[in-house]
Amino acid sequence: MSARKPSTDNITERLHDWSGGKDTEASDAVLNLVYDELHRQARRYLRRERAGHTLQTTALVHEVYLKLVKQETIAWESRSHFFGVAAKLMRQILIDHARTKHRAKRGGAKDNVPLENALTVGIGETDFDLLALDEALTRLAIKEEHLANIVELRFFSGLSIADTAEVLRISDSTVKRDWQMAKAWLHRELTR
Amino acid sequence: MADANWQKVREVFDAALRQNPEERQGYVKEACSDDKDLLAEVESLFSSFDESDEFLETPAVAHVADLIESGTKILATGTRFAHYEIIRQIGIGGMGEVYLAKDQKLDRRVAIKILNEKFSRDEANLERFVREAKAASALNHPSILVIHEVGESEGTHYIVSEFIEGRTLREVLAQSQMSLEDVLEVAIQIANALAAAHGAHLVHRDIKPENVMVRPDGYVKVLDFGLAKLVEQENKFVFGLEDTRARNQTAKGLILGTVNYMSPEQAKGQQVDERTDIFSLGVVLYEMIAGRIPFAGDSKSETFANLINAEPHPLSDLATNASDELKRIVARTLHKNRDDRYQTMQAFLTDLKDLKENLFLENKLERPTSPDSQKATAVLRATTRGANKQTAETLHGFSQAIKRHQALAVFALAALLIGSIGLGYYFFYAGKTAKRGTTNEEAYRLDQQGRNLTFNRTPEGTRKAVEYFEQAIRLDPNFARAYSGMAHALIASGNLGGGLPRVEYEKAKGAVQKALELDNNLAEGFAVSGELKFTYEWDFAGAEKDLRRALELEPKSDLAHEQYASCLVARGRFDEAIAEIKAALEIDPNSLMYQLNNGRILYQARRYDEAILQLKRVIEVNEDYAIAYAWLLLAYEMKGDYTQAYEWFMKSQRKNSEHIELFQKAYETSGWRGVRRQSFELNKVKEEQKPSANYYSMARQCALMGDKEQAFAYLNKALEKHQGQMIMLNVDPPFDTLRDDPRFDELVRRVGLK
Repeated sequence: MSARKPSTDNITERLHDWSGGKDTEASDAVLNLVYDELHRQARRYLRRERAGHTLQTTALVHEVYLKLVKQETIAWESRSHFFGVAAKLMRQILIDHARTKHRAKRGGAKDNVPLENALTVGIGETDFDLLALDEALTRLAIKEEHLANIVELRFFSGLSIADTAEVLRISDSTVKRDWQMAKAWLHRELTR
Repeated sequence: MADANWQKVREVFDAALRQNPEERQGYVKEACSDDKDLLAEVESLFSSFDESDEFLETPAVAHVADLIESGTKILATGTRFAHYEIIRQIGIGGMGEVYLAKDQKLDRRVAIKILNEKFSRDEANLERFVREAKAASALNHPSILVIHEVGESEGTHYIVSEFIEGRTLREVLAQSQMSLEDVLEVAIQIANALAAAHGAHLVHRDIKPENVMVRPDGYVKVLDFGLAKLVEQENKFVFGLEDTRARNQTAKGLILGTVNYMSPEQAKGQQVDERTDIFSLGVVLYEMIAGRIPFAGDSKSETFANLINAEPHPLSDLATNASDELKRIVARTLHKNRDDRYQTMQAFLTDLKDLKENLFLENKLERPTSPDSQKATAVLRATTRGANKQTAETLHGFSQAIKRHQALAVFALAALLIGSIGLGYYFFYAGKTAKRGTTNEEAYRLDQQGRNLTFNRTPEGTRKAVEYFEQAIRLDPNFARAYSGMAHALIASGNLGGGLPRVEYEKAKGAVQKALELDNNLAEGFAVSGELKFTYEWDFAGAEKDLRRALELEPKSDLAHEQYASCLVARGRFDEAIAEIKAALEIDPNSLMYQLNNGRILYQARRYDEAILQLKRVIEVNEDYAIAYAWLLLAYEMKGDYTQAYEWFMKSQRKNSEHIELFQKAYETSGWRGVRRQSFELNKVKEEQKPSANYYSMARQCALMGDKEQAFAYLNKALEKHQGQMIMLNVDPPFDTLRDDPRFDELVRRVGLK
């Protein structure tokens, strides 16, 4: 009953896989930091402070990274490995939420217990797209994992072009072109 | 295309991106010169590229920000939460999540709303929330969601309420245009609930289609009392922000869901009162009629501005058939200054009810003016009661035809076509109108309406009938029959509930006396006088005298025969009673009411097989006749045929599917008696909370379950309330198990049966 996070076990498991099967405590630490970050971003979106201050995000995640590196409990292969893991985590959590919302919306209509407000009004298609996007992104990773990583950093972690470039140690313009390619391909997949 | 080409596609796309936009097309064509598949692929990607400017530029978190920020959790099926077991999630919203769950203590399905962190965090909020939820749960109104529990488990706050199957009014609105009759019915039920809440000084503050459930049987439930204030604060937070366009969809939904039904005083952050709910219900009513809200703008801020400054969009533009009265009622709810609105929900409610009543009388059954067509209308109206739907619709067609044909011809045609339904009713009610008893046309019409409404003996119908008779009396204070009609309606109303309150008894008594004072030869006056004597005065000898007098004056009075039958059966004079009810049935062979009473009397005479036959016939004609099922079950049960009792019980429940599984399980584990107990437990709380609980019926159920002490407790309460059903104490078979007890003797004595 105290589980406040969706599918926590699943996420922890994945985190283990991504980080090379390291101990639970460290995984929990990463998870908590990622949740904090998501909460912060979510709050900001609810207040409609548009992104654009994504530098702050990077700064925060950077701090997190330093903390974790100090703990030396997870042998991060590299800084980008860490950011990659955090981005995958965020993707997982966000998609879980979208699925919940999608299910609630469908279930709500069928089972007919009303919601207390119209929060879900007009969201259905976006939710559906988010789930479809997740699938398409998985297909893209098979074609070219690098593009999927960029989408995870940009879209799921909310990093700017510059931050993404820094994390991946590639040029801004490369990130931009790869991002455009990924977007075009995903867009087509979702509108086919 | 094959994956092998991915690299090529990537290279061409990447290189083309480096070109100037206007040169890209040419570049791609050249680069893919002899590879048509490659060209098609890259071109299709570029066409997507052109459309994907905004695509994915808003981070994913924005789409689910509300869920994340509110600390939403998902409870899996089977999770235990306090003493509830989660069945599945059925809703999600800003306050938290709603689950369908099983209450393991009481073995019933409930809805649990689990408050999210954000709402639980603030102590003051929480305290007020709990206080108001408690106030709402004390309201006890059939149209208000029943709150079972407000609690906390491991730091998580939750509310448990009844689980309602049905649709929200929002879903109803989304699916189809509502008929005017349905619109009024829903509005009346909401207004009724709110009037009760206002009576307890509780303002809902968040009336909107999402907060109204419409059950399949047409009952309406208003939800979320006491939550509104919290939601209101929430809104202020989001509300202070400008720029509607850049906002992500989540935030938009949050605002849209609430501003639309907000009153101007709420929008301005002023104090709210009952008139706030009147405004919001007015908006909902407007939307049900017009399909859109009265102050709708292109954006939230425009709607907001309209709410403060603009007049509602004229209803006549959107609903051309809306009557002036309906437009007047709606307009009166939507005034910006609350002093100009209805001042009480009750006043609003009264207007809605009158409008609906008028619609029923004037639209559905047009009122002809000649006496002959009046008769025909009486027949039509009478026969639509208790008739099956198809017949009612056919007759409805005839009522429409009245204006087009000669009334008498239509009457003859209708009489032929009515066939099995309620023809005798004409002879009883319309037939006796040969002696009209009044020269006042309107009083006469009101009296007829009162009779029609009494006929089906429904709680609402009889109450309304009393009002009509009163109006008739006001118009013609010497109209004897209106007095006896009113007394009969009052008695019927008492019989349907848990007894006749003292004030109403006095009223009925006074009316009967007045009727006989005005016309000492009024058969109906004596029949009703007898009815009152045996039902509520427990003066059986006096009643018998009156009823015999009524039959002397009018041997063909089916009412007198019916009442006499009831009086006789109470005293165990079964053969005479059966003869009397048969006499009533001879006069009106197709009256379901008399057929039902025949079945009931046969059961009381312990002639179960005949009773079963008769009651099944009643159900064949009207499969929704709940009382007929109740007697049938008793007949089967007393006969010892539990299989049939269960089978028919389940048939009676098929439209009320909520507890089907519980009953099935009860039957599997403890047989028919288990089902009885389950049904009793489910109804007990509801029944006991009614101001006019039917304690007699509860006592009977306890006797059937072998719960002797409880049966006595309820019988004593029934005696205390002077319930009319007590007269059947001596003949009701389930009480056989109590008859050896001296306490039972005492009860029988006090009811005057010894």
